[in-house]
Amino acid sequence: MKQFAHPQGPTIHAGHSLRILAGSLLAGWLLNLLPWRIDLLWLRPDFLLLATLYWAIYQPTRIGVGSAWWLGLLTDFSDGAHIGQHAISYALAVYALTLFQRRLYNFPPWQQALPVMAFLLLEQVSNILIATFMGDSRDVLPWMASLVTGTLVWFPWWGIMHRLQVRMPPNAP
Amino acid sequence: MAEHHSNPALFPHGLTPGARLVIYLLASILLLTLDARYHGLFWLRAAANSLIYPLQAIEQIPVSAFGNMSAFFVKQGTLLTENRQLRRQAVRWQLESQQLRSLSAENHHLRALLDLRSKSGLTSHAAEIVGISRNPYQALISLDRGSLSGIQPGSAVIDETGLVGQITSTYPLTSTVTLITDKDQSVPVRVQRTGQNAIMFGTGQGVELRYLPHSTDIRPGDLLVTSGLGGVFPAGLDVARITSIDNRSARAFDIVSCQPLAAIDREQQVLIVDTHPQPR
Repeated sequence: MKQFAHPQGPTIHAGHSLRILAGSLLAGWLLNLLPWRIDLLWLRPDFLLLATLYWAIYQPTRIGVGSAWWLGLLTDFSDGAHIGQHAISYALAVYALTLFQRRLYNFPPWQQALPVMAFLLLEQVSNILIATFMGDSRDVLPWMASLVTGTLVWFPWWGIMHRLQVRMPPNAP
Repeated sequence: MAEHHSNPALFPHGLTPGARLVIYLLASILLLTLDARYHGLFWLRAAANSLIYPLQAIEQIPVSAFGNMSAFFVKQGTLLTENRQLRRQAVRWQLESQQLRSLSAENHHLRALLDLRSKSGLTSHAAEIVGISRNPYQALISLDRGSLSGIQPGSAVIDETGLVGQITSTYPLTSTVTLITDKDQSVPVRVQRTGQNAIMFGTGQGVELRYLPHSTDIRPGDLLVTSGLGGVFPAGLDVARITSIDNRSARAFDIVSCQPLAAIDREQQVLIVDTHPQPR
């Protein structure tokens, strides 16, 4: 029984502190707020959504449908969208994620990338549907490119977040 | 260090995620209705905007610092060429401005003779683009001047090449511009060559003239300027150039595609032109 009392191996991943969680969400939002060039805007990944998805996978007791809704509301205010538009789509994407959360938790990032792209797609499509219901219309196909860039950004994002995990030494009491 | 279980409890209690999702969906539908149908959330938007703006302004600092730094390393030759071009332009403009002065004096005199009210001079504020909506549906940009600087909704926004759009909402520190390419934006224009009046509509991607009969005299390359009809935009601002005309007889009217002249995707500085509501 000794190996259970004193587990071997380099470190045990013990999750993230609340400060890192809040900080990364803030960072994602600030990245979205950066003054991007208007002709390259369609390539910009939604960093806040990526952060939300990351935490919905790794801290599902803290970030769920409700917090995603509030973060979407924040995006509505900062993007000048209809109030409630991104709120719905963020909540839907995170809800879809909660259905697969246990599997995604154990996946390596390259295996998470495709489901993440699907959640980004779900967010985009629901966003387009709501906007269409509200009477907007525009050529939205180029904006689908942000799904690809978002998926590509997932890897560095995952890497940074993974490094920020709180690690317990192997022989901690 | 706060211990926190990273996985949900094996036997969760409370609302299921599905039930919570339904509650939040209903809440957002309520918000969407309040916002879009009754415009009931304007104060909330204004408050949120005043909170977000300082952050945007802070983020602008390193970006503009980088711009300044790369400007420092511009080649001498480029500077010289640019300088020469600018000088040439300055001379030309000097000439034009002299002509303009004499013409405007003459115009003033003639108008006085005709007992017409002289056109009021335009007042303008320089402003900088601080944010661009990521929302693909709305062609919106935000500027760093707001109602505290005396900006009023309805003012025209131009850059040095042409009309950019119109101020549609003002907050204390910022204001939002709806671009002329926005689907809901229309501008009364005049074809400069012929004086033909028309209305230019945004299509989301570009702009077009509608409801012009097939017999209208227009050609690709014609310049469109604001006509000043309707009193919203001051007259005589450059707006767009006609690119193509679809005059198939199957349609009741011509469809005229135009290319806006303003370069909102390249410029940072714009000018807000007040259209003073003229006392009648």
